[in-house]
Amino acid sequence: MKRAAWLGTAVSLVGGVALWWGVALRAGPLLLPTPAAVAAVLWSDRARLTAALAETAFGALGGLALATTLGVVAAGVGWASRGWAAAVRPWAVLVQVVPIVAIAPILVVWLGYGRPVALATAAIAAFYPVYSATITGLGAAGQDQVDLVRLLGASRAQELLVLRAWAALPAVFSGLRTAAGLAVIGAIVGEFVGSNGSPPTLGHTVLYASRSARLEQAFAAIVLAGALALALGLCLSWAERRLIARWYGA
Amino acid sequence: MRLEGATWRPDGVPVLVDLDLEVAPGRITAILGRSGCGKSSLLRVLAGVRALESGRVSARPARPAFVFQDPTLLPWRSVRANVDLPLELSGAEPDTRRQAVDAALASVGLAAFADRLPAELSGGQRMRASLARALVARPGLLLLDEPFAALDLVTRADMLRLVLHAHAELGCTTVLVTHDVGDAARLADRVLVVDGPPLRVVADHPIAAPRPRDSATVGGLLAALVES
Repeated sequence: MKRAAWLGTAVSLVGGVALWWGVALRAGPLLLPTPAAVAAVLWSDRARLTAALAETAFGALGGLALATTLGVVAAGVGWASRGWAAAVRPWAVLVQVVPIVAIAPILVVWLGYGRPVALATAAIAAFYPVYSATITGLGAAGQDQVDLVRLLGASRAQELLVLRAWAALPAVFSGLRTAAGLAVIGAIVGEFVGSNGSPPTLGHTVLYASRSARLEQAFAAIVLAGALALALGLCLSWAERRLIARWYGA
Repeated sequence: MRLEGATWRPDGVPVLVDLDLEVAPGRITAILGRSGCGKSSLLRVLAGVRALESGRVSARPARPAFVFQDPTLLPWRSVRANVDLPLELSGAEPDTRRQAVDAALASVGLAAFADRLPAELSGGQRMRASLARALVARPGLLLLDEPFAALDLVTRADMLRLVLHAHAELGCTTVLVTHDVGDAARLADRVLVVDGPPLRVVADHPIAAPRPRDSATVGGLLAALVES
């Protein structure tokens, strides 16, 4: 079964690249570069692209860290007090529904060009999944577990620290995996408007390479952005397996 | 311990309506009834983890402990840390805690498994860990919610023996909820047969036979209980 799954993925990937190649050869390099052309740019331009990847990774990871801190704290405070929960909720929803593309230019006005914009857009994009997953998670403890700690005289704070925060972790991890992908998207959107190419960023590279008809360079940046999101997701899955799977005997 | 005029209707379902009940201190009272009649809810009311609409529980012994049908161990804590939970929450001294936890683990035969996670134990071992957790703080009130129901025969006999031993040693007021007539006959000083909801006592059998009871005694008690 596992072997069949690997085979399926491999065939689909190879097939996809072959299709891309075929279409690229017909369309011509101005519309779609071949995988070989993209690979060549990834190699020849590796110094600049690596720097851009590092910059975007910084924005995405920093934004994710910020969003995780804010989301977990906001959800925890909301659990402790219904008043706080009701006060935080409309803002959390607002952050979720306002398109990040619309906020980014305003952030440039406030924060200037450079890292802070990408950090902020990544954090805004990643906040809601972490916040809402943590709320779900804090309610995930079993009724018997809750009865147990209450019977033992636990205070609200102890109930949170001894039981609910731990029981929330599987949900928080699933929120984090969604948030990680969104943080990369958020960082790149931030770089579209908030990066002038110095230092290089993936967002800026995609934008200016496509404007100057160097699509192979834009594609190289897109490949790296995808790899970044994938790597983040894999790291989180690994951490989740190491931590949580052991508890539930998986 | 006394329950007076207890009424509890979650979501409008009358589980307890104006119920009076008395439980003798230091004795084992079995509450025997079919599933869904409200006996588990009654146990949680006695534990004080369900707020009554009206009525009250008076003279509840100190340090209540609860054994659930499911072991209800916290999966992220080692067996030792699980057993330690009541002492940790009560703010006891680390040295006292360590000694009490070691003793409790030894008494249920889990000393060698102290550092394992619950997921690494068998079902029977988990149940014994949950009993150790209940006994570690030397409870004055021991509430057992069908703790033997999901166990194989050997583990079940083991658990029954451990509960009897703990009761003999601690002299704690014990309430056992069960749908198994045999468990009631083996353990209890008094058997309350209940029906519902709303929960009501339909029969009240005191049992004078000393424990441990051999199978002939249990068989006789069983026949008497079933007949009623």
